[in-house]
Amino acid sequence: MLSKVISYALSGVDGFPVTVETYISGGLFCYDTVGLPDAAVKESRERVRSAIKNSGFEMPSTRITVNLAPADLKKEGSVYDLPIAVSLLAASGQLFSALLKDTVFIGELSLSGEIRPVSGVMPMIISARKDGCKRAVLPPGNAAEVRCIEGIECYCPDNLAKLVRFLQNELPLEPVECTPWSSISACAEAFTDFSQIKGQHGAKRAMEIAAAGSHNLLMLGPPGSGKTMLARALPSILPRLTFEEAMEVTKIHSIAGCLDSSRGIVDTRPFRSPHHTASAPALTGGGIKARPGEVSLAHNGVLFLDEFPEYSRIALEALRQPLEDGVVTVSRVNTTVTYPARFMLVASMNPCPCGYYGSKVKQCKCTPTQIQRYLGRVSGPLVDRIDLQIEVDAVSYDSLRGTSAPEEPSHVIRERVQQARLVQQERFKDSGIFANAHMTAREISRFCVLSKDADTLLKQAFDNLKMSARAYSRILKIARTVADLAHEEKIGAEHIAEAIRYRSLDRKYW
Amino acid sequence: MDYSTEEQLNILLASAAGMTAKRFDALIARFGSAREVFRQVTADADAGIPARLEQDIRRAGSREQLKKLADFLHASNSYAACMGSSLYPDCFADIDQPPPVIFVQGDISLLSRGGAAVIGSRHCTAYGRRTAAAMAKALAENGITVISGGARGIDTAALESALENGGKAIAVLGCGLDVTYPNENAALFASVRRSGAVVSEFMPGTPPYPSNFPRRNRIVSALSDCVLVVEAGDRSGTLTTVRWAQEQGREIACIPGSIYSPQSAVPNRLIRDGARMITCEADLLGVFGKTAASAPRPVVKVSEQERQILAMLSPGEDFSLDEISQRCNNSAGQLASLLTMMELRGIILRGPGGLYSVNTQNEYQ
Repeated sequence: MLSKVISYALSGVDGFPVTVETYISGGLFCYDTVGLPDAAVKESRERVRSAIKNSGFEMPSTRITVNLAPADLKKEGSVYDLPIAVSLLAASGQLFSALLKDTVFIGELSLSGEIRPVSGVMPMIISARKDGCKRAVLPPGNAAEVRCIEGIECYCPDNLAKLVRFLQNELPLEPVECTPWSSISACAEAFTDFSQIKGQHGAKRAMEIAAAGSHNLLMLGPPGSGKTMLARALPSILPRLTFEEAMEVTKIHSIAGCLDSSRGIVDTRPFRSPHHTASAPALTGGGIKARPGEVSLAHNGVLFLDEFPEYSRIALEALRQPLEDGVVTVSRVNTTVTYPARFMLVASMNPCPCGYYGSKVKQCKCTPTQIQRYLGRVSGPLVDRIDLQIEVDAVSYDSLRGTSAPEEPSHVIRERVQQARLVQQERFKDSGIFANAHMTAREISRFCVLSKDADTLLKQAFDNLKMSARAYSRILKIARTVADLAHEEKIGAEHIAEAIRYRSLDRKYW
Repeated sequence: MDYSTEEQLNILLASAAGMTAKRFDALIARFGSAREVFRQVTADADAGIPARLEQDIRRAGSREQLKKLADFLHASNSYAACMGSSLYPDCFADIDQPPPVIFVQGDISLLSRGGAAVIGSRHCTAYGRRTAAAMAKALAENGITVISGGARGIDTAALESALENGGKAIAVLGCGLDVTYPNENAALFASVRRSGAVVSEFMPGTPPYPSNFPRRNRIVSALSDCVLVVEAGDRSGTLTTVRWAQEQGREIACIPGSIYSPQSAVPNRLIRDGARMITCEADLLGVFGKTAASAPRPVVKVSEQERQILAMLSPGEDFSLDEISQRCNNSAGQLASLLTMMELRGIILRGPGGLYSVNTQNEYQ
């Protein structure tokens, strides 16, 4: 007898349907799996056989052929255990085939017949819904991932036996309850709060601007000045993820297999801080299966690179394309995959090898050549893509002791950031960009209208401060965000003036 | 300017590696002409010249060296002056071992007009760089040539400031004039050539050997009437210039600095030992018999807000934005904007580390 069951596979961040066909014919016992299965899929034979027997069903003892269609695409992982088992039961007449219509099966089986979680479920279910499937059977461990997807009923039975009873309408099961996004995103919290950081008002302000306009940020400062702490507090003031953003992030994390199973959905903006020994493929993505890298895992969030110049040159240069395009294309022998990678780059570095150039704490011992060489480790084109460059110095004893006024808590700053983002969302409606940082030359000339004072000031700045031409558009973008934070339609002189301050590396004293 | 073969041979002989003024004079006195000296060393006959020097002379007289020299002299505004030539600066008479030949590009007449050497360590602080620039500006505005070594740090700051303010400058190099060292100063040297002179005692093509620099320092001091030490640490090469200046009887002036700053160790010590202390531009101009304050300090009108900030910044000290924000009620954003505007108006200066300080060149009302 022949039976067909639908399952899903992944290509990049999208799922595509895989039909699992099983044919049982007469003859001696033989079990073949065809359709380009990898080792994990081939091994499923043992799991399926044991699971079927231990769930109280019969394993056919004649010739079994399992085909995974389309037959020319590689099938990977243990996702097909469940669909193969179900289709085997149907083919051997233990389950009525008509019951399987429009139902997607995804899951790994244990030898005892339990259904185990797999990675990448969320993008598969989203694709299945798009393809018109009405029902899905998933491992209970993946239930949290799909709780925000509407329009498809997801059932999560514990084991194979229960599943069969459910399919035969003998056991009622409740589909996964749909949770509205607003209730999930509201409770996302728990980071270093800005109120815990004493002093550093200049740096905090720069972070607020960076968060509001999704600008990249570079912090220069001596060791121990709190650069890392500031960066770690940044997620607490980032605007909340929208539902679409959260879906994109969760898809990527689901594929990478790094979803927190209790939360299921990534409900806060990701904050990734790879160590500086990370290789270029670790950052951009790679491996035999072209897995997403750190830039994609940081999609819609923050990629924090501490000790920026310590990263390998190749790794840093690899960041240029994703920084520019917001996507990264990973090509390997078997696959070419494009992953989204629109992240906010936050980097920190010392201003010189000894770390104390321009610090009040300690005298710098480096020669100008050493400083130049150190700064030269980060290439010009890369620095060019970083809008805000600020200097952070160690905090004075007075502010550490907390004698000064109480610090502003994160949620107050976040409120301002959120407001500024709303302005931007309104401005860039339907244009495919979400924040000021992503403006192209055309949008800059359209939205960054300068008042007369502002224009004069900017010209003066270029003449007096010897700024480079590439600083021009960066200053305009930052000034746009500063004006948004101040709820101003037009960019005024004070906004331009503040923006100029954040272009430290354009200055001549380096 | 055209040079006869005889003159060119003189220059080549003088540029030989081990050549000193004394030896040069002795050789010419004994053999009559440079041509004869070269003939003697190329012939196998024992001319009685020390073997090492003989080898150096042979190398100096090679065909490529002659070509290099011709190429150099062919360029516009390029000169080479041997001892005894009319172009050779008189002030070199004060040098114990004067260079037998000097190569110049630019205005050669500048060399005999004196000036002030502004010198200091390559590794300097923002204070040093700012002071060097301010002093060079005052000198430039009063028509006094600024002389320096063209190295990084103080030298560069002084030369740049002199040229920016329309003054004359002389850079004395420790390598051949066709060699650019340090590399980033190529543009600076080009403008010194245009409105001043670049000087070296080394044959074109000579690399910047470390041993060249203490030697070139004697030319820096000799060309100047007064040597101003801006900043120098204990092991700085600036010390050699000071020693040459003392030998040559040049005035030594010093910029005082913090006793905790290693870069101010040498000038502070020299002041203790009796060097002239320079506390303002007028002090330096006084050395040249000029009265300062030819132009009164420009008056800048400041707003009430700006006045408050100025009151917080004690002159000569650096303040970060956070320190300023602690003492006033403005938010960090407002303050950032205000400080940048003040910076653009030249009221305050921003240095490395994003630290602000008052620009003391102006009067604030």
